[in-house]
Amino acid sequence: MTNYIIRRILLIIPTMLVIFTITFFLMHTTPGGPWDAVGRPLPIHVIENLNAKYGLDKPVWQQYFIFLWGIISRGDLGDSYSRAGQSVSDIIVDHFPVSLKLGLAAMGVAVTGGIFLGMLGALKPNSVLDNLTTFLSVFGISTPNYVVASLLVILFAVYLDWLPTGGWDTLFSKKAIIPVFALSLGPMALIARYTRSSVLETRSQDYIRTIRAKGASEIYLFVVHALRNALIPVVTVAGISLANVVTGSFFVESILMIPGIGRYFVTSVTARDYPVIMGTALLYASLVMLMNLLVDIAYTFLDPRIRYN
Amino acid sequence: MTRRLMTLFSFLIVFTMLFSVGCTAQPTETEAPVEEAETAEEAEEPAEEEEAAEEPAEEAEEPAEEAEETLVVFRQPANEPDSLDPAQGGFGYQEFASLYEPLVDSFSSQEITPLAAESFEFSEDNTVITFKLREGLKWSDGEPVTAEDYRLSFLRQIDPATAAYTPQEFFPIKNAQLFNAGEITDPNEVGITAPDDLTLVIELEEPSPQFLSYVGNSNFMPVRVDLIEEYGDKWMEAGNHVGNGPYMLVEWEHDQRMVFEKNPHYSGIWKDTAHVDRIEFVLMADAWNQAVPAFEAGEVDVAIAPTSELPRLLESDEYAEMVNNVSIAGSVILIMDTANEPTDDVRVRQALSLAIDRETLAEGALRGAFEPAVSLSPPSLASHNPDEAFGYQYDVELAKELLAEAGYPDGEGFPEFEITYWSVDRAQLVMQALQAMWKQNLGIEVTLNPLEPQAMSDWRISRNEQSYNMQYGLNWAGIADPSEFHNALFDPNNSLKRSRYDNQEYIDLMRAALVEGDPDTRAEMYREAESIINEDVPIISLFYEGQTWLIQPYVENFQEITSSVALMFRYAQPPGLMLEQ
Repeated sequence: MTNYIIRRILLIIPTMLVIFTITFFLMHTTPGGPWDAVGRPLPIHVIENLNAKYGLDKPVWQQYFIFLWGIISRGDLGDSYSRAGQSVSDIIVDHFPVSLKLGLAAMGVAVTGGIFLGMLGALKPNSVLDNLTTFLSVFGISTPNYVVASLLVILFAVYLDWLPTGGWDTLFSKKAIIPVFALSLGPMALIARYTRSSVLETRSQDYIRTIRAKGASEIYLFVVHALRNALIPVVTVAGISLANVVTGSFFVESILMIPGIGRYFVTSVTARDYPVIMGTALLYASLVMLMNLLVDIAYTFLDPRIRYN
Repeated sequence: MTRRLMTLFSFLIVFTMLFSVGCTAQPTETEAPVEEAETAEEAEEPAEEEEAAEEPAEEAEEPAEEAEETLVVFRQPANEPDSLDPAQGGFGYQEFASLYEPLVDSFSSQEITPLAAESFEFSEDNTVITFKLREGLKWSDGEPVTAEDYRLSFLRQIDPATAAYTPQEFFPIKNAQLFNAGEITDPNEVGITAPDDLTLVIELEEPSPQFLSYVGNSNFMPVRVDLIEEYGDKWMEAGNHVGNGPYMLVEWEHDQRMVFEKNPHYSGIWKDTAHVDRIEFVLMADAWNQAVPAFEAGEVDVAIAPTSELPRLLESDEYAEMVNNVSIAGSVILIMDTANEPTDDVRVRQALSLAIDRETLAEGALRGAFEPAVSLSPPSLASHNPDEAFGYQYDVELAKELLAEAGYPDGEGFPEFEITYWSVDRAQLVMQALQAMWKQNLGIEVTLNPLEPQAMSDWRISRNEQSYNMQYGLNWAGIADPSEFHNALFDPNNSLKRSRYDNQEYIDLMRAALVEGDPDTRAEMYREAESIINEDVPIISLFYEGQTWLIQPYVENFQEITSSVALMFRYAQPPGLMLEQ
């Protein structure tokens, strides 16, 4: 097991290198550069000075190795072009924790709520309760989180005046309620669907019938045996959703005025802020890989038949 | 049993692990004041507008300074200022004029008046300017402001390693351009000297009448070069930042808010007119959608109104009076390639311009937020010349006639015509309206080529070698000088070729006007130059740039400045009155 984990962690290095390389060259082949926004164009000599200052006057392959060496030798992702005086690490340290906290809270809600709803639905298939949870799930999956966020703002902030329209203090303030719920609805619905179908499938297995024949109570059977085995697909989905949710959402963060990292995934690309593009891409990639690893480890606890040796 | 427990909680382990990571990764958090802020917000009912205007968070944080007057501003343009460095500043950054003080003031009135300088005088031949600094000026950390500070700041701007955005404003200074190009490396050869603490001498290459206006610009604002060396990239952060303006930066939470307070060491001429004790800028990613609701809720005192909200605001009894249009010396323009068919024919250019109904464009598509153009440059510039501006009439019959004379009766045989513009909302609206007008009035089909703003720069530069049909543009006057419209747009020596307009008579005229010393003759020459452009229309002006501000009625003296919104906060009289009630 330990060997396996070490091997997996070592495998992250070449994967990151491939992602780094693809992102780097994709971004440099995209037309446009970082030095011009809407407005009066900068004179060519100014653009040349700026390119020289940030090393963009060198051939792209040289820039590639300089950038790569900066990361390997100093862990330096470079400075943002569009935010003067802020390095990529500053941006990640300032804004990622906000998205991370929101995302973790949202996933906590999503996993608890999703498994609960899924189980409710699986208890009596095709009953009214099941149809209701199915409806909720379909609503959650098909409604984008920014629509949910807007609806919640209109309902709870504008009409009822219970919650603020936006902003950010800490996770444990009223300002966090709407974003947490808006972010959790999608993954919750997904997890509910997976739980339901997975539990239904497990329940028709032979060993469940055997346990039932032994006279075990329905609740015991359900929670301890059926649910445990049904969790494998759920953990897979939850793991990937988590990487997705903790990196923030451009729309939810914009609408609710939350200073998270999500918007940088979008604004860095439109501004051609190369170091920030690389930084956010690598952040997301490393989170996805970390989650995959954790999910794989979780499998061994859920299913004793799975072994990595 | 242990195994079972483990199984049940296995998926939770994943999350708890990350939870702990998340908690430790979080840097400094101000938990306590935030909690207080929450309760303060609870207690405060937004029923009374006056009360709501006071940001509750402040009261909680600084209960002792309750009487302090705060102006809450929804910052525009939408999100954070990209920089507080004058070398990376630009037009429309309202923060700069509050934080730094240049030698002269070229914005408050038509005349250029001394600001940080007590006086300035020109030599006989107009090539040397001697500035005498006011005595006793101090930076916000209490250090004295010296002429050497200005010298070092100016040299920093033209140092190629700084890569400043607008070093060309310094190019009239002797050897500045060579220094910026790296051909001279000794800063002592540049025509900027500081013989003593209060004297700054600037030597020009040749007389340059508009140069003094530049000295009032953000590029000529001084910075603390010693602190930039000390703090490196972090010199702009709150706590490190030191300026010499009437305000100082006390707080900057990126993407959330930025707070200015009066600079206690400031003794310059704005001392008595800077009425606001504290300005809080709300920095939001989506200010266009958040500004109006926040303003209506009384959460902010000053905000900018998006064009789409205007009809509703202007119709309401309550808000119509709070809408203030501020004109900016800028024009939205269409640039044509005068060396390429069909726009090499002056009749085609005239026809295209005559067929534009600017009134409908401004009132309809743009909802009355902007003034329709009647001449190339906006009214605040001396070159503005609407008299008999041929290209600015709306005359469809004449346009058709001209087009027929050029060989395209009813648009027949008109070559493929492409307009390149950046794909932002307003440009999109304008281009669609124009496409319809030309189709209906002239029978011409034009192709729209929207480009992402960042891709427009490469496109523009590549057009120096390649021909094109028409491009959409926006031209601002950084200083209130006609050269910002004529020489900046048309001089063939510019790095961007734009319209390739090669009317030698016009080029000679505007070049002569640039160095003309007598202001009246100079204005007359530029007016004449503009009438040539208004007749030949290598560049079509569509409407003049402006901004629409929403200002709460209790904010007084929120002045409109012709070419910049930068100085407004110095004049503003914030919700002070209501505190006295």
